Amino acid sequence: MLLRAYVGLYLAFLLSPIIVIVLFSLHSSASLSFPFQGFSLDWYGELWSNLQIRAGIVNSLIVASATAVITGILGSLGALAFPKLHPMLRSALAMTSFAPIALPGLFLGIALVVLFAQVAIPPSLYTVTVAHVLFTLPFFVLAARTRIELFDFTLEEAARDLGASPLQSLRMVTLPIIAPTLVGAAIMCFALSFDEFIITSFVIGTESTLPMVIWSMMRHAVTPVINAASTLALVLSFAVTALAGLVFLHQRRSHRRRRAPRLAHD
Amino acid sequence: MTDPDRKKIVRLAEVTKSFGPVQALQHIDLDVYDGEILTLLGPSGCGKTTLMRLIAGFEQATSGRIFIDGKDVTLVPPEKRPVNLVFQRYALFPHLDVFDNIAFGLRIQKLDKEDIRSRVHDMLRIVQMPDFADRWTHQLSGGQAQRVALARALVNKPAVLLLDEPLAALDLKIRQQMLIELKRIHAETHTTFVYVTHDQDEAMILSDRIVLMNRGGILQIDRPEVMYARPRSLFCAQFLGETNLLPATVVEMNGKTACFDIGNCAVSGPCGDWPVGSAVSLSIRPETLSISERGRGAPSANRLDGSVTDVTFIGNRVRYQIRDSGGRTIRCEEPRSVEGIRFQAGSAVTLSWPVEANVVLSE
Repeated sequence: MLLRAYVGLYLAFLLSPIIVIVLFSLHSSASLSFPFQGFSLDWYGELWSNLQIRAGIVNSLIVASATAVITGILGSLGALAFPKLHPMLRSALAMTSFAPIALPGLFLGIALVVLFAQVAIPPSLYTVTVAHVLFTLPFFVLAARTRIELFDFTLEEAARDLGASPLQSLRMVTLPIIAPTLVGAAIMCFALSFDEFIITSFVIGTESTLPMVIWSMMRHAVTPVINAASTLALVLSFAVTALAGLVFLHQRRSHRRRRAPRLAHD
Repeated sequence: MTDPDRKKIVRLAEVTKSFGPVQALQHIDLDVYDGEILTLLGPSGCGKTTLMRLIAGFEQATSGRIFIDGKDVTLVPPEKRPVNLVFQRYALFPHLDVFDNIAFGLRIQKLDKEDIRSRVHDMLRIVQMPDFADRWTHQLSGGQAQRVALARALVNKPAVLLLDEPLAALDLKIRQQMLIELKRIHAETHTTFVYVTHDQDEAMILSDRIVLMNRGGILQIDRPEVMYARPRSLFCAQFLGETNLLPATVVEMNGKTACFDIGNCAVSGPCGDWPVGSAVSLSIRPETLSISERGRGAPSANRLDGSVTDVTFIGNRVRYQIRDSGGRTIRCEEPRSVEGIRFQAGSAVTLSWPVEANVVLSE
């Protein structure tokens, strides 16, 4: 009984800010307090007509996608290399590669500003992407490693034994088995990048990502448009996750379809 | 035991293997004959698995050369060697069904579809799983998974099939079935088997020849019954089957038989080139000892009085533990007779055994 009450409280604590934001993004008046005066989609209309926000969303999508892809590739290679390292080297590398997680974003931001200035790269969406890859990579490796450590590497030996070159065994055995993990980790990186603020604020140039736009709007006045923008970001996160689920479903179905013709003439 | 006339399918010459400072294998010379079942037998850590992985190509020899089918493969990677391996824990690909698992090697060889299909199905028939092509690997029992693993290896028609303790993960009943199956599959496919195990029973049931290993070296290579009857080392006598080991001193050698002193009694055994006065061990298998009531029993070269301390009934056999007058414990085994268990704890008995039952080991 007590446990149930606790779970209820826990969920309320966790979800109430989200519910409030979603609710007020649909408010028909500009007031951000109760009593609630009715529903409207006005703020979403305003959101769409706000070119600044539109540009922010597009930029965020570009940066997050690029981050997910680049981190996905670099991280997969790293996570796959990990179990094959000497145990001493492995634990040393595990410690150091997680420094960016422990390091406050503030320092990472400052360090990157200095670095980009040193090598004379002007701040832009490119520098933001580089920063986001740096920031998401440890998360990716952490998430992927736990699964890859469970991967049975005798499967690679079995593939080699059956005539597969190292590359073939990676492509035909290892990757198909760990793909769901890698895609899942990449999606997580997309989400991390999509709402990253602190590091972004240091390395961004003239263009803005969505969190930057919302931040700058907040400094003037808190308007319900911000609620709408936040809700949109929320929906997008859900959509990305659902997309991942669909990808897996499709994979499984297409596998079954591939098998079907052979079954037919057996 | 070597046979110069038979074709050698695998040859290891002076092979050694070290892992850092640890010598896993030292000076291994081994021939595997075409078509035989050769077992690498030994306790864990004896180097048998390393030896098999060297043949498969997963490990590189520190020195020495390895030949398969006449070609030097010492530096050839595993995918280019004409051998296939059956892994202890099956190592079936979880993302592929049974058909695709077995077809894996053939697809890499880029065989045509129809050919692959017929070979996979032939193989499924040989391992007696013709209806399992569309099963997922997680739907298989341990025994079925091992059959699929066998099929996946054999479908490539390897010059040598390597089996790494393939039955270790199965329970006893299935293990016994699989042993018979393995013999049948061996006969049906005419493939050379190199079988790694620590289980002496598996080795004796299955092998044409056993290679007994310990501490990175080969101790003895023989047919199972020869190795059992004439072990050449204490280790072999103890590892393969059960035995009584009696410390003894050589007393006399008269050309036909030798006389040994085991403390409380003189024993006659076969002759050899041990100097008189040297210390040896006599190995006497429990089933070569006859047990009878004290003072009774047929006359025999060797007799020893004692009393029964323990009786174990094993269904078709009865095992007695006897303490002799010197305080030594001797195990003796006989088939269960129609009278059932003939002696109880405390019975006064006489053990007798012929000259040839004594295997003399000087070590």
